[in-house]
Amino acid sequence: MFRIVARHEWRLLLADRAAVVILGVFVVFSGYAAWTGADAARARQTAVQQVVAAEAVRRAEQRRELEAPKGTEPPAAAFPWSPRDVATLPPSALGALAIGQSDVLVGTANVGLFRTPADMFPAYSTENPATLAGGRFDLAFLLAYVLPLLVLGLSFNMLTAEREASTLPLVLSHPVGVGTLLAGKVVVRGLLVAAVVVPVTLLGVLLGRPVPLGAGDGWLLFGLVGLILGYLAVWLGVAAFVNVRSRSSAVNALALGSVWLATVVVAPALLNLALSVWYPAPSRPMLVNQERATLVDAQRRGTEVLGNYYQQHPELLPVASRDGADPIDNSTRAYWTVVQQAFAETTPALHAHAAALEEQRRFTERFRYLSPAVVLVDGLSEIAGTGPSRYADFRHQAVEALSNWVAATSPHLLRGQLFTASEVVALPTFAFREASRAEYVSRLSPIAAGLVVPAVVIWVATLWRVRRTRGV
Amino acid sequence: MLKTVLVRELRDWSREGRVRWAFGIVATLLAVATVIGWQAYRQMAAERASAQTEDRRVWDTQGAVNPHSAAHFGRYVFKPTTPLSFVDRGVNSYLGVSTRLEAHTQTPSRHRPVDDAPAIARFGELTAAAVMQVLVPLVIVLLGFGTFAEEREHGTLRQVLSTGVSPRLLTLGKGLGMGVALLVFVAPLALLGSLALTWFGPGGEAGVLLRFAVLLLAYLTYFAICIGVCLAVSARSATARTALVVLLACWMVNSLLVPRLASDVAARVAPVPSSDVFFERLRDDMRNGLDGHDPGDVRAEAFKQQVLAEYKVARVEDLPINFDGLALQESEAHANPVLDHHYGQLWRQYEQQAVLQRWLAPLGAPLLALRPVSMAMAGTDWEAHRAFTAQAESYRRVFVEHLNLHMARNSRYGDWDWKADDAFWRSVDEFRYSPPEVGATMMAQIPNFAILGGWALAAWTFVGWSLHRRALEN
Repeated sequence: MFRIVARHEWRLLLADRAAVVILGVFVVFSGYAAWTGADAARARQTAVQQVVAAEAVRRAEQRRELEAPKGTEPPAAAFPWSPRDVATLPPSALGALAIGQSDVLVGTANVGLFRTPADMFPAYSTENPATLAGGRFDLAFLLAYVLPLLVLGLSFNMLTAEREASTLPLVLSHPVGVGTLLAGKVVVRGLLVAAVVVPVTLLGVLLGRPVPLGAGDGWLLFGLVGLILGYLAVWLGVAAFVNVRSRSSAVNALALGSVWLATVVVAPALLNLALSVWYPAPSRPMLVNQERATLVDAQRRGTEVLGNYYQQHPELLPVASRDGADPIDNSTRAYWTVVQQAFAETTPALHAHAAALEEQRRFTERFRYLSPAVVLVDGLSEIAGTGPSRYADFRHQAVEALSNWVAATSPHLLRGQLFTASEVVALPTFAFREASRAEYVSRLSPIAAGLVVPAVVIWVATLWRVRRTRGV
Repeated sequence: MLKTVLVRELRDWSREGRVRWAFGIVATLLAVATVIGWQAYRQMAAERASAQTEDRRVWDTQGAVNPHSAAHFGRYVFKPTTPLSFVDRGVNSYLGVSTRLEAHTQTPSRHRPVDDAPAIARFGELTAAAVMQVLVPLVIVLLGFGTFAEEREHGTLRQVLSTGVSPRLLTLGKGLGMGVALLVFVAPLALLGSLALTWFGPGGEAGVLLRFAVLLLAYLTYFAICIGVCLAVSARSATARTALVVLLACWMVNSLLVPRLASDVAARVAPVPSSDVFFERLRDDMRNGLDGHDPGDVRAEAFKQQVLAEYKVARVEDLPINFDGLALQESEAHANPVLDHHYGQLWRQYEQQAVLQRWLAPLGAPLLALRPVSMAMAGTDWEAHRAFTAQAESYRRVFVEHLNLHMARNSRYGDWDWKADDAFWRSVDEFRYSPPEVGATMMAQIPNFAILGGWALAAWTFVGWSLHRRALEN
């Protein structure tokens, strides 16, 4: 009986012009959204390539300068502060899926002797704040906001249309229960939407990829399909739950519209409000002032700070050169130690700031499950490589790279030694390490659960409701 | 008769459970958003004032330092938050709260709240403006989708019209009824907001209260548009269900789809350069001049010869002033037009994007015209930030010149160990920001006011036409 119902529903849906139009409009929107995501991902890739290319040119020039110096003065490239590196976060192959946080978080960092973790990340963005505030029309937006409306638009009157047309009693006079009837309608709608949305999304992501797919990207695509199907199951369940007992399509539309509004629009906004009240963002202006006051204080103690540094690191005292001259000005050394000292003294405040932000992040991760839309967007951003986790990995690795760089170059500064070409070539260069599959699984598992569990709960409730209803 | 229709509509709605629930929920959200918005404004205002005071203290007590080192140490200025940000935070989350003022360069503001915010912040904030822009239109849909369609389905519309009440009067009564019902939201906000601004805000300045009044008027116009569209669709729909689906689709287009598409299309048609490209171009032009044929070393040599000739000496060591100070100031004078050119270009691109978005408003989203008006009146839009940035930059140029000339007049050429003391730092004038005049803000929003007015006219003309046809067909 289920197959008969399903076949019949399939024919009815395909004959319904409204359903075809809605699906067609969604496909067009998907194409545009994929184009937007692909453009953004390619722009990021181009920006990274430009930075890497410029850095390669600069290094080549410095190498030439060191290998064939002009005149008797040491070349500028030989001084310990001249060599530098740039840390870049490459876009992921699935970056077209979601712009995520890539338009606000920084994917480059400057690594050099006089840099500290506080100032190595570019502080400025030229992106139009109105565009950032308005949001972008990418696949993540379409799937989180519009897909539920597509599902609800096709299924808000699954049973009530038949009740209102008085055909339901006729159907139920055959040996088919409400449960079987509902199952047939739900499965057909689910399959139809999935058959359109999943291939269109995959096609958009694959065609718009900024870099070739890697070995580990296949299972991410599998995860993407899983998230879409999980989200679809949640909304189909909500539609089925409302349809079981309702007598009016208009009431259904209102109820389902309210659920969509509450979970997709209001719940995230309320979470943001709760965050601002219970875990307000720590004050950046006060941190800035603290950093500056500490720097001023350290500068006042300039030579004393340098002296203390040499006391703690006697192995770094200046080495006498052949002609007895120190190529590096002592005030430069003093300034470097002042900068390091000021950063060390500001570190507790920076850690407190980071800890406050971490509290915020934990709060949102705990309560994001109130909104399947938030859970889905988090998952899509993780898969696209534009989520906060990957950027946090990048920051961590960039700070580590800076620490290694300073460890490799500061002895030259303090001992008064200049770099040779071979020493510069041997300096460490940054290469971003992607998270392992296990790390991705640990990040995506709670997200998957955040969709599967509500879907199961809603469907169990729907089945319970079906059992208790008399049908007509 | 009008009063009878109005009272009847209000009574019917007050008896409907779903209407009471909707009103209750939205009114609660509006109240919560407004109260928390007010607290946030007061807290941020205090924090930034405190940060500005502390920056001044750090500057004044930096000790004996060479003025050029002090020029690089620089100052920070913190953009004050506006009183009406409690209604609409606009794009503040995406604007830096601090601007660094230092020699040789103009830097965009930094430390945007969104940089520290978790990903959920991108879903949007619950502000009074968001509730009125997105949720109140849904309440209007709930009130109005069945206004005519349901009465027609039940057969009561024919009976009402048979009593002699004209379709126009009936429409006006229903529309006024919805407007009166919406006063549940607007009146408390208007009253409490005015009181808060007067007693706890910036002393009840006329400018702020006028901005608040214009802001509320804009929202009332927007509600009038929504009411008109609702009545027209209900009048033209065969069934209440059709009216509801069409109105929800209109809401989705207005509140969700077109605003996103608009910012996307604007970014695509008038893209801004990335930060790397922008600063690379700026650096190139600083080095080589705007036309690419004015390299720094050639310029510096020409300036040196000019000063030597002016003072009639042969060497810079013989000048009665420190040439280094003059040279630093000359490099600032060269850099300023380059900065004006590049930043001016960037800001023109932002304007182009805003104009493009505005032109999409007539195509189905009056929200695209309301939002800029709301942000402008609240002082939380890009233009208000630009005004702050421009004033900060003017101050920076005067501040750096003050330091350079002090060094030129009081030290000798080559003496980079010469230092100024705290007395000099304290003598540097403080930065004082003057927000844009309300008149200028309103003038800049004339196109958006016109679009809102056009939408209101179109919506109510559509209502009149729909009623006329339907009454005849009935």
